[in-house]
Amino acid sequence: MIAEIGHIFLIIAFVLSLMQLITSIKVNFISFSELNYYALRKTNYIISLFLVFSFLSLILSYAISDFSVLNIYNNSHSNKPLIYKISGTWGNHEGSLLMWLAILGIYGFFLTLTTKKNSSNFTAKILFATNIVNVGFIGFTIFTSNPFTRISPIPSEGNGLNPVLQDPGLAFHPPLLYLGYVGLTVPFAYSIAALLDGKITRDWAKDIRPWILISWIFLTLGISLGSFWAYYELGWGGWWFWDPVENVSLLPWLLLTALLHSNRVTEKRDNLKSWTILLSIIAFSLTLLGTFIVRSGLLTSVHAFASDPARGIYILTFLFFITASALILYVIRHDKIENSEKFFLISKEGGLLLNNIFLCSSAITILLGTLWPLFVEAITGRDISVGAPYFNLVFLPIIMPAIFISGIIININWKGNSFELLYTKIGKAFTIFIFLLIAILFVYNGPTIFYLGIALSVWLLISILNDFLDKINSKLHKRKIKISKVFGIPISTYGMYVAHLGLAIFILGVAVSDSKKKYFEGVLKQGQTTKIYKYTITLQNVIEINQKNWIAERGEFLVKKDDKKITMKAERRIYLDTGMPSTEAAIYRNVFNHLYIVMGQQQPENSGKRIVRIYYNPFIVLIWLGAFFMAFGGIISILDRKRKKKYATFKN
Amino acid sequence: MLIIKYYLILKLLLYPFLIFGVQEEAKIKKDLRSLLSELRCMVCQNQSLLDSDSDLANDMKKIIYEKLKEGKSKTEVKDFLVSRYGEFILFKPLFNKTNLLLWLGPILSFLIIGFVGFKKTRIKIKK
Amino acid sequence: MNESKHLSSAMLNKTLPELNLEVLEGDLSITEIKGKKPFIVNYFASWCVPCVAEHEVLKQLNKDYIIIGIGYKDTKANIKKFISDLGNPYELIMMDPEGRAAINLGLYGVPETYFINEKGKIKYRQVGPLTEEKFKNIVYLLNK
Repeated sequence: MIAEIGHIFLIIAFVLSLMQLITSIKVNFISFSELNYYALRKTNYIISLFLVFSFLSLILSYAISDFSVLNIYNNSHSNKPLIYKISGTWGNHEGSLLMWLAILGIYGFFLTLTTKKNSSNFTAKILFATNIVNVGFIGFTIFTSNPFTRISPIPSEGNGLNPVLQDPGLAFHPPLLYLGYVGLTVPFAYSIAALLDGKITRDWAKDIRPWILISWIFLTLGISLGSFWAYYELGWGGWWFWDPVENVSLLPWLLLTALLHSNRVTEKRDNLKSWTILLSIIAFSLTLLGTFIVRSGLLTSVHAFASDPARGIYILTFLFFITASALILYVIRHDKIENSEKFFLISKEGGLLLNNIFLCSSAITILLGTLWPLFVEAITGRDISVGAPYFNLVFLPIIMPAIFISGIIININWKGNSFELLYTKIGKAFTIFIFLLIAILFVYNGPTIFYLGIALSVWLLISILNDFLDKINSKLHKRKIKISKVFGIPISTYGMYVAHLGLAIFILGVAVSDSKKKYFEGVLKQGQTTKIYKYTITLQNVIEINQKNWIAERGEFLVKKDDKKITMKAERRIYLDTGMPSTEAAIYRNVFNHLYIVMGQQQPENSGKRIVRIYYNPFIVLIWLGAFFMAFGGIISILDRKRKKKYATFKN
Repeated sequence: MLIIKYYLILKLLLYPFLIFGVQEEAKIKKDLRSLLSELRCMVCQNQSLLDSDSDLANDMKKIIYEKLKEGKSKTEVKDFLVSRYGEFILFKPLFNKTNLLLWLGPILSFLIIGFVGFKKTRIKIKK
Repeated sequence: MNESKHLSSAMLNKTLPELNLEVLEGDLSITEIKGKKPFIVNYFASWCVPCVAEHEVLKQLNKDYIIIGIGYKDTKANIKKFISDLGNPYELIMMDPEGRAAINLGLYGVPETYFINEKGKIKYRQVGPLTEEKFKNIVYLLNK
């Protein structure tokens, strides 16, 4: 019954979206009427509510394990804890699409709300674009991936959920990621509206900034949470694997980061407008490409495409339609985009331009590497792999200069800046940096990549500090710091500091954990001991555990360091509903460092000897801490309320 | 006492060789790790041999270790595995005609975006 | 792994490598037939569940084809029991207890079957259990 209601809500939302699309075409391109515009806005609220309630009914149906719904039968089981029944709602293709729709509804609601004050002409164009997206997505869900499809006769038990997904990670990772992806609809719609309107102003850029930030924050949190989840759940000891699924989430993040910066230039300097427009469009297209390719299984196996051609064809058609029409619109309208005449190389905007070039080519690189096996197979019929060694080799040289330059960008001013001024700003900081670097070189030893990482991290820290000191320095009395100036710095600048501080922390975590990690792999008997870093680790015993929905072998390891003794428990679980195994790594945290133990199967079988893998990952916590700081910096930037004033219209 | 003395002398004499042996083993271990991280576990989903403890991966690790120990180079070991399992096993694709665009793509995209970006922006150097 | 996933073998159209394995049963010599007659090499194990179903298919085929079985990561006793329980479709059974020769062949797992033509070249590889239908398809493809 609940599922039926959800289904009806979904269908109503689709019908309403279709009507909205027609109305918005009429309002925008045929004849504008206040009444129609009023209806357009009100109906948008209603669609949002229907989408959210449709999703809630699916969640409810999952909670009560209604196996008459095919999707629930396929992906749930009655013996699961309630939390996993609920989060299982979006642990599959159909359910996650409905979550996507619900989030689209939420964004639609707030978009409609915040555009109340805007000109009705412009808002109608935004609503035109969002309704195309609504129709496309709701249609895709209803016609190819309907989560409310019934089965008969009603099975008494469900098939269960993949054990990897039975984890709190599933409760938060996909919603955060989707909040990031779907949020991109707003800048996309704003860009389409601006192109149709034929003018892109600084106020326009100011209006979309919070939306870009919101998307960026959620995407940052979503990706880093996913990385943390993979780290503790997969038991591979690493935090990023350059897996296609990860790559397609990183792609929009990189472009969104570029968009965030180019939008800043558009807002402050009335420039880089094409960048802002194109990045909005392409970042949005890439979320479509990414989510759907992953969801259709195209990337993990080329042949999954054939198993459900309807989905694949719909995806490609929609993607092609959206991207192509947006780009054609850009080509037609791009001569209307007027940038400010002045654009100086040695300036904040010049640096941001250069950095966006780096960010975009890094995104293209990842896209190329991710899709390459598909090309090769399509053309030559041979299977090839593109994995971590390739990405590390090509991605790092592109992203590292960008990080270095961002330190400079933080320190230089908008508008023209001469080399001399640049030198007075960062000359001293750079000298300190070089000395620190040499000191580090003497104290620590490690591979080149370690030094590069440390150098970038230190450089960012120095840059932030240098700019901060410069800003609070009283210009009248030399070298006098005026504390009162601390409050004069815009909040968004603090947001920028925190976000880049986060980047510095992140890089430090990556460099140290990657270069200084210790690794042990071997076979341990009960009572046998091994040593890694400063820890002595003994496999004490292996016990069996029976839970409601899983059984496990639990290896208990006695870990000694100096006088401290702790017990770590690593598990190999078998989930009863699916019969699938899953490893639960034992992780011991010591400040920022992790000791990470994975217990494998017996080798040889029934010998009592266990394959054990132990990782000592120093500073690894900084990776996620850094990402959290980045997102936090974004939140601070959004809180900047000094954005009420309108910019004077720029005239050439 | 005398035995210990002889032992120490012997050890001193053999020292360079002992060190050599240790270094040799360390180099093999290092090569093994870097090799394993570049090879795909054929029965896993996007997992390297290094990270995998599937049966097949463990057998392969053993064989790769033995081949390195026999004095085979990393390239020779890779060639052997490619001849048996195909290029699919390589996480780092070969630099050849088929993969030319894959390897040149990053620098090309940087140059193209950079060229267009700078050209379209009409940059001024000085005020 | 998806059963229907097509796996292109790097060993296709190459000569079957030497299999220096301990013989458990049978007096056929591979060196004598290789390059003269077509034959089938089947990797199996007593601990492998799909192998049991496949075994029935192999028994049908052994009237018309020479089938060589290789016990993968198994003990002689277990293989002997497996054969005596289910019947013996193999002209020759060899043992690959540590799966070394398997890697030399590019094996993914058991069951896996290689079709070798009269020139001693590998013409087809079947990953996963062979069924009658699949076998017919393969023969059709190979004779084309």
